[in-house]
Amino acid sequence: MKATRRWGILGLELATPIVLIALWWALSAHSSSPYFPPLKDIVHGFFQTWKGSNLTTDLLPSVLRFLVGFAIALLAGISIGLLLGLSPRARRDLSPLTEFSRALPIAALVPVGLVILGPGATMEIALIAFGCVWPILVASTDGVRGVDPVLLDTARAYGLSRRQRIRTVVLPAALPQIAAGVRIAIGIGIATMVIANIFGATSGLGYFVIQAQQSFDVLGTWAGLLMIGLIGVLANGLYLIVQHRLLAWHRGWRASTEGS
Amino acid sequence: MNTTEDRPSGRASSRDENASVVLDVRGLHVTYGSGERAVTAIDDVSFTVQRGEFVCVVGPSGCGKTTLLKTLSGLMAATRGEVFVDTKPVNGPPPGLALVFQEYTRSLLPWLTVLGNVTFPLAAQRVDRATREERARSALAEVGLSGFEEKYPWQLSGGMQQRVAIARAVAYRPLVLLMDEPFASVDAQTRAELEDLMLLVQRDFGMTLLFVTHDIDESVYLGDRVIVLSGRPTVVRRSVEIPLPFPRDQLTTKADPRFVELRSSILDQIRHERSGSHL
Repeated sequence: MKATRRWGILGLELATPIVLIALWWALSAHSSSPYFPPLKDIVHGFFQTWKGSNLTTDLLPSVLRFLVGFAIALLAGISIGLLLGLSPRARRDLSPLTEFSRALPIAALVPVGLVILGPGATMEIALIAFGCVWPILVASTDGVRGVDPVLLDTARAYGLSRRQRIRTVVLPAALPQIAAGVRIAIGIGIATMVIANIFGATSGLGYFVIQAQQSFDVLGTWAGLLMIGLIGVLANGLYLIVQHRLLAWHRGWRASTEGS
Repeated sequence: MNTTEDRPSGRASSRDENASVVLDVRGLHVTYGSGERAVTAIDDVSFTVQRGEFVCVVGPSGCGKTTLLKTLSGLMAATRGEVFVDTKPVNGPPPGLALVFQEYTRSLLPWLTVLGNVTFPLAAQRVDRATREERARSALAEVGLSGFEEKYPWQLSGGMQQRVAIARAVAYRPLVLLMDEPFASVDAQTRAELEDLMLLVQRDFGMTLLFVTHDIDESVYLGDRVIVLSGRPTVVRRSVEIPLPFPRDQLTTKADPRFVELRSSILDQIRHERSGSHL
Protein backbone atom coordinates (compact mmCIF):
# COMPACT_ATOMS: atom_id res chain seq x y z
CA MET A 1 0.00 0.00 0.00
CA LYS A 2 2.85 2.35 0.91
CA ALA A 3 4.54 1.62 -2.41
CA THR A 4 1.44 2.32 -4.46
CA ARG A 5 0.96 5.62 -2.66
CA ARG A 6 4.54 6.49 -3.41
CA TRP A 7 4.11 5.79 -7.11
CA GLY A 8 0.78 7.63 -6.94
CA ILE A 9 2.59 10.75 -5.75
CA LEU A 10 5.13 10.36 -8.52
CA GLY A 11 2.28 9.96 -11.02
CA LEU A 12 0.60 13.08 -9.70
CA GLU A 13 3.81 15.03 -10.07
CA LEU A 14 3.97 14.05 -13.70
CA ALA A 15 0.24 14.43 -14.34
CA THR A 16 -0.22 17.93 -12.90
CA PRO A 17 1.89 19.71 -15.54
CA ILE A 18 0.21 17.66 -18.26
CA VAL A 19 -3.26 18.76 -17.16
CA LEU A 20 -2.16 22.39 -16.91
CA ILE A 21 -0.63 22.22 -20.35
CA ALA A 22 -3.85 20.79 -21.80
CA LEU A 23 -5.82 23.68 -20.27
CA TRP A 24 -3.35 26.15 -21.66
CA TRP A 25 -3.62 24.55 -25.10
CA ALA A 26 -7.41 24.89 -25.13
CA LEU A 27 -7.59 28.43 -23.77
CA SER A 28 -4.85 29.86 -25.99
CA ALA A 29 -5.92 28.19 -29.23
CA HIS A 30 -7.43 31.36 -30.74
CA SER A 31 -5.20 33.92 -29.07
CA SER A 32 -4.02 36.77 -31.28
CA SER A 33 -1.96 38.55 -28.62
CA PRO A 34 1.72 38.63 -29.59
CA TYR A 35 2.70 38.00 -25.95
CA PHE A 36 0.45 34.97 -25.49
CA PRO A 37 0.70 32.99 -28.70
CA PRO A 38 -1.33 29.77 -29.04
CA LEU A 39 0.38 26.89 -27.26
CA LYS A 40 0.38 25.03 -30.56
CA ASP A 41 2.77 27.66 -31.92
CA ILE A 42 4.84 27.57 -28.75
CA VAL A 43 5.23 23.79 -28.98
CA HIS A 44 6.15 24.11 -32.61
CA GLY A 45 8.69 26.77 -31.69
CA PHE A 46 9.97 24.58 -28.87
CA PHE A 47 10.80 21.72 -31.20
CA GLN A 48 12.19 24.08 -33.84
CA THR A 49 14.45 25.61 -31.20
CA TRP A 50 15.71 22.48 -29.47
CA LYS A 51 16.21 20.23 -32.46
CA GLY A 52 18.70 22.73 -33.89
CA SER A 53 22.12 23.94 -32.82
CA ASN A 54 20.66 25.49 -29.66
CA LEU A 55 20.77 22.04 -28.16
CA THR A 56 24.56 22.02 -28.09
CA THR A 57 25.19 25.75 -27.69
CA ASP A 58 22.66 26.47 -24.93
CA LEU A 59 20.99 23.42 -23.40
CA LEU A 60 24.00 21.15 -23.02
CA PRO A 61 26.35 23.73 -21.46
CA SER A 62 23.72 24.71 -18.89
CA VAL A 63 22.95 21.12 -17.95
CA LEU A 64 26.65 20.31 -17.67
CA ARG A 65 27.31 23.33 -15.45
CA PHE A 66 24.38 22.31 -13.29
CA LEU A 67 25.68 18.75 -12.96
CA VAL A 68 29.24 19.81 -12.14
CA GLY A 69 28.13 22.48 -9.66
CA PHE A 70 25.68 20.10 -8.04
CA ALA A 71 28.29 17.34 -7.74
CA ILE A 72 30.67 19.77 -6.02
CA ALA A 73 27.90 20.83 -3.63
CA LEU A 74 27.02 17.22 -2.89
CA LEU A 75 30.61 16.30 -2.08
CA ALA A 76 31.37 19.44 -0.09
CA GLY A 77 27.99 19.52 1.64
CA ILE A 78 28.19 15.96 2.89
CA SER A 79 31.87 16.16 3.89
CA ILE A 80 31.57 19.46 5.74
CA GLY A 81 28.21 18.42 7.18
CA LEU A 82 29.83 15.25 8.48
CA LEU A 83 32.61 17.25 10.08
CA LEU A 84 30.21 19.72 11.70
CA GLY A 85 27.90 16.93 12.81
CA LEU A 86 30.73 15.05 14.50
CA SER A 87 32.45 18.02 16.08
CA PRO A 88 30.48 20.33 18.38
CA ARG A 89 33.49 22.61 18.42
CA ALA A 90 33.65 23.00 14.65
CA ARG A 91 29.90 23.54 14.67
CA ARG A 92 30.16 26.33 17.20
CA ASP A 93 33.13 28.00 15.55
CA LEU A 94 31.78 27.88 12.02
CA SER A 95 28.09 28.52 12.67
CA PRO A 96 28.23 32.35 12.28
CA LEU A 97 29.87 31.87 8.90
CA THR A 98 27.45 29.20 7.70
CA GLU A 99 24.39 31.05 9.01
CA PHE A 100 25.46 34.21 7.18
CA SER A 101 26.41 32.47 3.94
CA ARG A 102 23.26 30.43 3.63
CA ALA A 103 21.11 33.52 4.16
CA LEU A 104 22.59 35.24 1.09
CA PRO A 105 20.27 35.19 -1.93
CA ILE A 106 22.01 33.82 -5.01
CA ALA A 107 20.77 36.70 -7.15
CA ALA A 108 22.77 39.08 -4.96
CA LEU A 109 25.86 36.96 -5.46
CA VAL A 110 25.81 37.09 -9.26
CA PRO A 111 27.49 40.54 -9.40
CA VAL A 112 30.14 39.37 -6.94
CA GLY A 113 30.69 36.24 -9.00
CA LEU A 114 31.05 38.36 -12.12
CA VAL A 115 33.63 40.57 -10.43
CA ILE A 116 35.68 37.75 -8.96
CA LEU A 117 35.49 35.07 -11.62
CA GLY A 118 34.20 36.96 -14.65
CA PRO A 119 31.39 35.68 -16.84
CA GLY A 120 31.53 32.09 -17.98
CA ALA A 121 31.25 28.48 -16.96
CA THR A 122 33.53 28.74 -13.89
CA MET A 123 31.47 31.52 -12.31
CA GLU A 124 28.20 29.73 -13.05
CA ILE A 125 29.44 26.42 -11.64
CA ALA A 126 30.76 28.21 -8.55
CA LEU A 127 27.40 29.90 -7.94
CA ILE A 128 25.44 26.69 -8.48
CA ALA A 129 27.74 24.88 -6.06
CA PHE A 130 27.45 27.70 -3.52
CA GLY A 131 23.66 27.80 -3.79
CA CYS A 132 23.24 24.03 -3.49
CA VAL A 133 25.75 23.35 -0.75
CA TRP A 134 23.81 24.89 2.18
CA PRO A 135 20.70 22.73 2.31
CA ILE A 136 22.88 19.61 1.86
CA LEU A 137 25.34 20.79 4.50
CA VAL A 138 22.68 21.68 7.06
CA ALA A 139 20.77 18.42 6.47
CA SER A 140 23.96 16.37 6.73
CA THR A 141 24.96 18.09 9.96
CA ASP A 142 21.54 17.41 11.50
CA GLY A 143 21.50 13.86 10.17
CA VAL A 144 24.91 13.09 11.65
CA ARG A 145 24.01 14.67 14.98
CA GLY A 146 20.85 12.60 15.13
CA VAL A 147 22.57 9.21 14.87
CA ASP A 148 21.47 7.02 17.76
CA PRO A 149 24.26 6.89 20.39
CA VAL A 150 23.42 3.23 21.10
CA LEU A 151 24.26 2.41 17.45
CA LEU A 152 27.55 4.24 17.78
CA ASP A 153 28.37 2.51 21.09
CA THR A 154 27.57 -0.84 19.49
CA ALA A 155 29.91 -0.11 16.59
CA ARG A 156 32.65 1.10 18.94
CA ALA A 157 32.33 -1.89 21.24
CA TYR A 158 32.74 -4.17 18.22
CA GLY A 159 36.03 -2.49 17.50
CA LEU A 160 35.06 -0.48 14.41
CA SER A 161 37.57 2.27 13.74
CA ARG A 162 36.39 5.85 13.40
CA ARG A 163 36.52 5.60 9.62
CA GLN A 164 34.60 2.32 9.66
CA ARG A 165 32.00 3.79 12.00
CA ILE A 166 31.46 6.73 9.67
CA ARG A 167 31.05 4.50 6.64
CA THR A 168 29.06 1.71 8.28
CA VAL A 169 26.92 3.64 10.75
CA VAL A 170 26.99 7.42 10.52
CA LEU A 171 26.49 7.98 6.79
CA PRO A 172 23.73 5.38 6.28
CA ALA A 173 21.93 6.63 9.39
CA ALA A 174 22.12 10.24 8.17
CA LEU A 175 21.10 9.37 4.62
CA PRO A 176 17.34 10.03 4.96
CA GLN A 177 18.05 13.57 6.15
CA ILE A 178 20.77 14.13 3.57
CA ALA A 179 18.29 13.08 0.88
CA ALA A 180 15.82 15.71 2.06
CA GLY A 181 18.53 18.36 1.79
CA VAL A 182 19.48 17.15 -1.68
CA ARG A 183 15.92 17.59 -2.86
CA ILE A 184 15.85 21.23 -1.78
CA ALA A 185 19.25 21.74 -3.38
CA ILE A 186 17.99 20.50 -6.76
CA GLY A 187 15.44 23.32 -6.93
CA ILE A 188 18.01 25.92 -5.90
CA GLY A 189 20.49 24.51 -8.39
CA ILE A 190 18.15 24.86 -11.33
CA ALA A 191 17.20 28.40 -10.37
CA THR A 192 20.86 29.31 -10.00
CA MET A 193 21.70 27.65 -13.30
CA VAL A 194 19.39 30.17 -15.02
CA ILE A 195 20.11 33.28 -12.93
CA ALA A 196 23.89 32.95 -13.12
CA ASN A 197 23.58 32.48 -16.87
CA ILE A 198 21.68 35.71 -17.60
CA PHE A 199 24.42 38.33 -17.20
CA GLY A 200 27.53 38.41 -19.32
CA ALA A 201 27.03 34.91 -20.68
CA THR A 202 27.42 33.97 -24.32
CA SER A 203 25.72 30.59 -24.23
CA GLY A 204 23.32 28.67 -22.01
CA LEU A 205 19.64 28.54 -21.12
CA GLY A 206 19.40 31.83 -19.23
CA TYR A 207 21.35 33.56 -21.97
CA PHE A 208 19.03 32.03 -24.57
CA VAL A 209 15.85 33.23 -22.84
CA ILE A 210 17.16 36.77 -22.36
CA GLN A 211 18.46 36.87 -25.90
CA ALA A 212 15.09 35.77 -27.28
CA GLN A 213 13.25 38.29 -25.12
CA GLN A 214 15.48 41.16 -26.21
CA SER A 215 15.03 40.31 -29.88
CA PHE A 216 11.21 40.13 -29.47
CA ASP A 217 11.28 36.40 -30.20
CA VAL A 218 8.27 35.52 -28.05
CA LEU A 219 8.19 31.89 -29.18
CA GLY A 220 11.88 31.53 -28.37
CA THR A 221 11.31 32.95 -24.89
CA TRP A 222 8.57 30.41 -24.28
CA ALA A 223 10.70 27.61 -25.71
CA GLY A 224 13.44 28.46 -23.21
CA LEU A 225 11.04 28.63 -20.31
CA LEU A 226 9.48 25.28 -21.17
CA MET A 227 12.89 23.66 -21.39
CA ILE A 228 13.88 24.99 -17.96
CA GLY A 229 10.66 23.62 -16.50
CA LEU A 230 11.24 20.29 -18.18
CA ILE A 231 14.73 20.01 -16.71
CA GLY A 232 13.26 20.69 -13.29
CA VAL A 233 10.68 17.93 -13.63
CA LEU A 234 13.28 15.53 -14.97
CA ALA A 235 15.74 16.24 -12.16
CA ASN A 236 13.04 15.75 -9.57
CA GLY A 237 11.93 12.49 -11.17
CA LEU A 238 15.50 11.18 -11.18
CA TYR A 239 15.85 12.18 -7.54
CA LEU A 240 12.71 10.27 -6.61
CA ILE A 241 13.89 7.12 -8.39
CA VAL A 242 17.29 7.19 -6.67
CA GLN A 243 15.71 7.99 -3.30
CA HIS A 244 13.18 5.21 -3.72
CA ARG A 245 15.95 2.65 -4.20
CA LEU A 246 18.41 3.97 -1.66
CA LEU A 247 15.94 4.47 1.17
CA ALA A 248 13.69 1.44 0.80
CA TRP A 249 14.73 0.37 4.31
CA HIS A 250 13.76 3.73 5.74
CA ARG A 251 10.15 3.47 4.59
CA GLY A 252 9.84 0.01 6.11
CA TRP A 253 11.57 1.02 9.31
CA ARG A 254 9.40 4.10 9.72
CA ALA A 255 6.24 2.13 9.08
CA SER A 256 7.30 -0.42 11.70
CA THR A 257 8.10 2.20 14.36
CA GLU A 258 4.93 4.22 13.77
CA GLY A 259 2.86 1.37 15.19
CA SER A 260 4.76 1.14 18.47
CA MET B 1 29.91 -30.97 29.82
CA ASN B 2 29.20 -28.08 32.11
CA THR B 3 28.66 -28.88 35.71
CA THR B 4 29.23 -26.68 38.68
CA GLU B 5 31.91 -29.09 39.94
CA ASP B 6 34.32 -28.60 37.05
CA ARG B 7 33.85 -24.85 36.85
CA PRO B 8 36.43 -22.54 38.34
CA SER B 9 35.04 -20.75 41.29
CA GLY B 10 36.52 -17.35 40.50
CA ARG B 11 38.23 -16.53 43.74
CA ALA B 12 39.80 -13.10 43.53
CA SER B 13 42.85 -14.10 45.53
CA SER B 14 44.14 -16.40 42.82
CA ARG B 15 43.93 -13.91 39.96
CA ASP B 16 47.60 -13.08 39.54
CA GLU B 17 48.86 -16.58 38.94
CA ASN B 18 45.68 -17.82 37.33
CA ALA B 19 45.94 -17.65 33.54
CA SER B 20 42.26 -18.38 33.02
CA VAL B 21 41.09 -15.00 34.33
CA VAL B 22 39.49 -13.29 31.33
CA LEU B 23 38.13 -10.17 32.95
CA ASP B 24 39.94 -8.56 35.85
CA VAL B 25 38.54 -5.42 37.46
CA ARG B 26 40.75 -3.73 40.06
CA GLY B 27 39.69 -0.85 42.26
CA LEU B 28 37.39 0.72 39.68
CA HIS B 29 36.22 4.20 40.54
CA VAL B 30 34.08 6.42 38.31
CA THR B 31 33.14 10.01 39.08
CA TYR B 32 30.99 12.19 36.85
CA GLY B 33 31.74 15.89 36.70
CA SER B 34 34.30 17.59 38.88
CA GLY B 35 34.71 19.83 41.90
CA GLU B 36 31.61 20.66 43.95
CA ARG B 37 29.17 18.93 41.63
CA ALA B 38 31.12 15.71 41.20
CA VAL B 39 28.97 12.61 41.55
CA THR B 40 30.61 9.31 42.36
CA ALA B 41 28.83 6.55 40.46
CA ILE B 42 31.21 3.75 41.27
CA ASP B 43 33.30 3.94 44.40
CA ASP B 44 35.43 0.83 44.53
CA VAL B 45 34.63 -2.25 42.47
CA SER B 46 36.96 -5.22 42.11
CA PHE B 47 36.16 -8.68 40.78
CA THR B 48 37.36 -11.24 38.28
CA VAL B 49 35.63 -13.46 35.78
CA GLN B 50 37.16 -16.81 34.80
CA ARG B 51 37.16 -18.24 31.32
CA GLY B 52 33.85 -19.97 30.64
CA GLU B 53 32.17 -18.51 33.69
CA PHE B 54 28.64 -17.08 33.64
CA VAL B 55 28.64 -14.18 36.09
CA CYS B 56 25.54 -12.13 36.82
CA VAL B 57 25.65 -8.68 38.35
CA VAL B 58 22.68 -7.40 40.35
CA GLY B 59 22.15 -4.35 42.44
CA PRO B 60 19.49 -1.86 43.52
CA SER B 61 18.15 0.34 40.74
CA GLY B 62 20.35 3.27 39.89
CA CYS B 63 23.45 1.59 41.29
CA GLY B 64 25.60 2.35 38.28
CA LYS B 65 25.36 -1.02 36.51
CA THR B 66 25.33 0.63 33.10
CA THR B 67 28.26 2.86 34.05
CA LEU B 68 30.12 -0.27 35.12
CA LEU B 69 29.52 -1.99 31.77
CA LYS B 70 30.44 1.10 29.79
CA THR B 71 33.69 1.32 31.70
CA LEU B 72 34.45 -2.39 31.27
CA SER B 73 33.81 -2.15 27.53
CA GLY B 74 36.09 0.86 27.19
CA LEU B 75 33.26 3.16 26.04
CA MET B 76 33.86 5.29 29.11
CA ALA B 77 37.09 5.98 30.96
CA ALA B 78 37.43 5.08 34.62
CA THR B 79 38.43 7.86 36.99
CA ARG B 80 40.64 5.42 38.90
CA GLY B 81 41.39 1.75 38.84
CA GLU B 82 42.07 -0.67 36.04
CA VAL B 83 40.30 -3.20 33.89
CA PHE B 84 42.12 -6.07 32.20
CA VAL B 85 40.67 -8.18 29.43
CA ASP B 86 42.81 -11.26 28.94
CA THR B 87 45.59 -9.56 30.97
CA LYS B 88 45.68 -6.51 28.65
CA PRO B 89 44.67 -3.20 30.21
CA VAL B 90 41.53 -1.60 28.79
CA ASN B 91 41.69 1.89 27.39
CA GLY B 92 39.17 2.12 24.61
CA PRO B 93 37.06 -0.82 23.42
CA PRO B 94 39.28 -3.92 23.76
CA PRO B 95 39.40 -6.56 21.03
CA GLY B 96 37.59 -9.75 21.89
CA LEU B 97 34.80 -8.06 23.75
CA ALA B 98 31.17 -8.04 22.64
CA LEU B 99 28.26 -6.11 24.04
CA VAL B 100 24.51 -6.74 23.99
CA PHE B 101 22.34 -3.80 24.99
CA GLN B 102 18.88 -3.67 26.44
CA GLU B 103 17.68 -1.48 23.57
CA TYR B 104 17.74 -4.07 20.81
CA THR B 105 15.83 -1.88 18.32
CA ARG B 106 18.49 0.77 18.71
CA SER B 107 21.55 -1.48 18.56
CA LEU B 108 20.62 -3.10 15.23
CA LEU B 109 21.28 -1.18 12.02
CA PRO B 110 17.89 -0.78 10.32
CA TRP B 111 19.38 -0.47 6.84
CA LEU B 112 21.12 -3.85 7.07
CA THR B 113 19.48 -7.25 6.87
CA VAL B 114 19.70 -9.68 9.77
CA LEU B 115 22.72 -11.28 8.08
CA GLY B 116 24.30 -7.86 7.50
CA ASN B 117 23.82 -6.98 11.16
CA VAL B 118 25.57 -10.14 12.30
CA THR B 119 28.44 -9.84 9.80
CA PHE B 120 29.33 -6.14 9.96
CA PRO B 121 31.64 -6.44 13.01
CA LEU B 122 33.39 -9.34 11.26
CA ALA B 123 33.72 -7.32 8.06
CA ALA B 124 35.36 -4.58 10.12
CA GLN B 125 37.84 -7.18 11.42
CA ARG B 126 38.63 -8.07 7.78
CA VAL B 127 37.28 -11.61 8.12
CA ASP B 128 36.76 -12.81 4.55
CA ARG B 129 33.25 -12.90 3.16
CA ALA B 130 32.81 -16.68 3.03
CA THR B 131 33.99 -17.14 6.62
CA ARG B 132 31.90 -14.34 8.06
CA GLU B 133 28.75 -15.54 6.29
CA GLU B 134 29.35 -19.07 7.49
CA ARG B 135 29.91 -17.88 11.06
CA ALA B 136 26.84 -15.64 10.89
CA ARG B 137 24.62 -18.39 9.52
CA SER B 138 25.67 -20.87 12.18
CA ALA B 139 25.23 -18.24 14.91
CA LEU B 140 21.74 -17.44 13.59
CA ALA B 141 20.95 -21.15 13.56
CA GLU B 142 22.13 -21.36 17.19
CA VAL B 143 19.65 -18.66 18.25
CA GLY B 144 16.86 -20.20 16.17
CA LEU B 145 16.78 -17.64 13.36
CA SER B 146 17.65 -19.80 10.36
CA GLY B 147 15.65 -18.58 7.38
CA PHE B 148 15.51 -14.98 8.61
CA GLU B 149 18.89 -13.95 7.18
CA GLU B 150 17.48 -11.67 4.49
CA LYS B 151 14.82 -10.03 6.68
CA TYR B 152 15.32 -6.60 8.15
CA PRO B 153 15.41 -6.27 11.95
CA TRP B 154 12.30 -4.09 12.00
CA GLN B 155 10.36 -6.91 10.37
CA LEU B 156 10.98 -9.07 13.47
CA SER B 157 9.46 -9.16 16.94
CA GLY B 158 11.35 -7.72 19.91
CA GLY B 159 12.49 -11.12 21.14
CA MET B 160 13.73 -12.05 17.68
CA GLN B 161 15.58 -8.75 17.37
CA GLN B 162 17.38 -9.47 20.63
CA ARG B 163 18.24 -12.92 19.24
CA VAL B 164 19.86 -11.16 16.28
CA ALA B 165 21.95 -9.11 18.71
CA ILE B 166 22.91 -12.31 20.54
CA ALA B 167 23.80 -14.02 17.25
CA ARG B 168 25.99 -11.05 16.36
CA ALA B 169 27.85 -11.49 19.65
CA VAL B 170 28.15 -15.26 19.15
CA ALA B 171 29.49 -14.93 15.58
CA TYR B 172 32.06 -12.44 16.84
CA ARG B 173 33.50 -15.16 19.14
CA PRO B 174 34.38 -12.79 21.94
CA LEU B 175 36.63 -13.62 24.87
CA VAL B 176 33.96 -12.13 27.06
CA LEU B 177 30.38 -11.11 26.33
CA LEU B 178 28.91 -8.25 28.32
CA MET B 179 25.13 -7.99 28.49
CA ASP B 180 23.37 -4.90 29.84
CA GLU B 181 19.89 -5.88 31.11
CA PRO B 182 19.33 -7.57 27.76
CA PHE B 183 15.87 -8.94 28.49
CA ALA B 184 14.44 -6.02 30.46
CA SER B 185 12.12 -4.89 27.68
CA VAL B 186 10.63 -8.14 26.41
CA ASP B 187 7.56 -9.92 27.72
CA ALA B 188 7.87 -12.59 30.42
CA GLN B 189 7.48 -15.58 28.13
CA THR B 190 10.03 -14.30 25.62
CA ARG B 191 12.30 -13.52 28.49
CA ALA B 192 12.23 -17.10 29.77
CA GLU B 193 12.99 -18.34 26.24
CA LEU B 194 15.92 -15.95 25.90
CA GLU B 195 17.28 -16.96 29.31
CA ASP B 196 17.30 -20.60 28.23
CA LEU B 197 18.90 -19.53 24.96
CA MET B 198 21.76 -17.92 26.90
CA LEU B 199 22.29 -21.10 28.92
CA LEU B 200 22.40 -23.03 25.65
CA VAL B 201 24.81 -20.60 24.00
CA GLN B 202 27.04 -20.66 27.04
CA ARG B 203 27.04 -24.46 27.11
CA ASP B 204 27.67 -24.84 23.36
CA PHE B 205 30.47 -22.28 23.09
CA GLY B 206 31.86 -22.26 26.62
CA MET B 207 31.39 -18.52 26.47
CA THR B 208 32.48 -16.17 29.23
CA LEU B 209 29.58 -13.94 30.23
CA LEU B 210 29.06 -10.92 32.42
CA PHE B 211 25.33 -10.43 32.60
CA VAL B 212 23.95 -7.32 34.27
CA THR B 213 20.33 -7.52 35.35
CA HIS B 214 17.95 -6.03 37.89
CA ASP B 215 16.06 -9.32 38.09
CA ILE B 216 17.34 -11.42 40.97
CA ASP B 217 15.53 -14.59 39.86
CA GLU B 218 17.17 -14.23 36.48
CA SER B 219 20.61 -13.80 37.98
CA VAL B 220 20.32 -16.91 40.17
CA TYR B 221 18.78 -18.94 37.36
CA LEU B 222 21.54 -18.10 34.87
CA GLY B 223 24.68 -17.52 36.85
CA ASP B 224 27.52 -19.65 38.11
CA ARG B 225 28.06 -16.73 40.41
CA VAL B 226 26.13 -13.60 41.29
CA ILE B 227 27.90 -10.37 42.18
CA VAL B 228 25.75 -8.16 44.38
CA LEU B 229 26.43 -4.43 44.15
CA SER B 230 25.57 -1.79 46.73
CA GLY B 231 23.62 1.40 46.00
CA ARG B 232 25.51 4.49 44.87
CA PRO B 233 28.38 4.99 45.22
CA THR B 234 28.76 1.41 44.15
CA VAL B 235 30.94 -1.21 45.79
CA VAL B 236 30.80 -5.02 45.57
CA ARG B 237 28.77 -6.27 48.54
CA ARG B 238 28.90 -10.00 47.96
CA SER B 239 29.91 -12.61 45.47
CA VAL B 240 27.53 -15.55 45.72
CA GLU B 241 28.34 -18.95 44.23
CA ILE B 242 25.29 -20.58 42.66
CA PRO B 243 25.74 -24.34 43.09
CA LEU B 244 22.58 -25.25 41.18
CA PRO B 245 23.01 -28.21 38.80
CA PHE B 246 22.98 -28.04 35.00
CA PRO B 247 21.06 -28.29 32.77
CA ARG B 248 18.83 -25.73 34.40
CA ASP B 249 15.12 -25.67 33.79
CA GLN B 250 12.56 -22.92 34.25
CA LEU B 251 10.31 -25.23 36.29
CA THR B 252 12.52 -27.57 38.28
CA THR B 253 15.44 -25.22 38.91
CA LYS B 254 13.17 -22.43 40.10
CA ALA B 255 11.35 -24.87 42.41
CA ASP B 256 14.63 -26.13 43.89
CA PRO B 257 14.80 -25.13 47.60
CA ARG B 258 18.40 -23.95 47.08
CA PHE B 259 17.20 -21.61 44.32
CA VAL B 260 14.54 -20.19 46.59
CA GLU B 261 17.00 -19.78 49.41
CA LEU B 262 19.63 -18.06 47.24
CA ARG B 263 17.21 -15.64 45.64
CA SER B 264 15.69 -14.77 49.03
CA SER B 265 19.09 -14.15 50.53
CA ILE B 266 20.14 -11.87 47.62
CA LEU B 267 16.78 -10.10 47.55
CA ASP B 268 17.05 -9.45 51.26
CA GLN B 269 20.51 -7.98 50.79
CA ILE B 270 19.35 -5.67 48.00
CA ARG B 271 16.32 -4.56 49.98
CA HIS B 272 18.71 -3.74 52.77
CA GLU B 273 20.85 -1.73 50.33
CA ARG B 274 17.83 0.18 49.18
CA SER B 275 16.63 1.13 52.65
CA GLY B 276 20.21 1.94 53.59
CA SER B 277 20.50 4.38 50.72
CA HIS B 278 17.60 6.40 52.08
CA LEU B 279 19.38 7.20 55.30
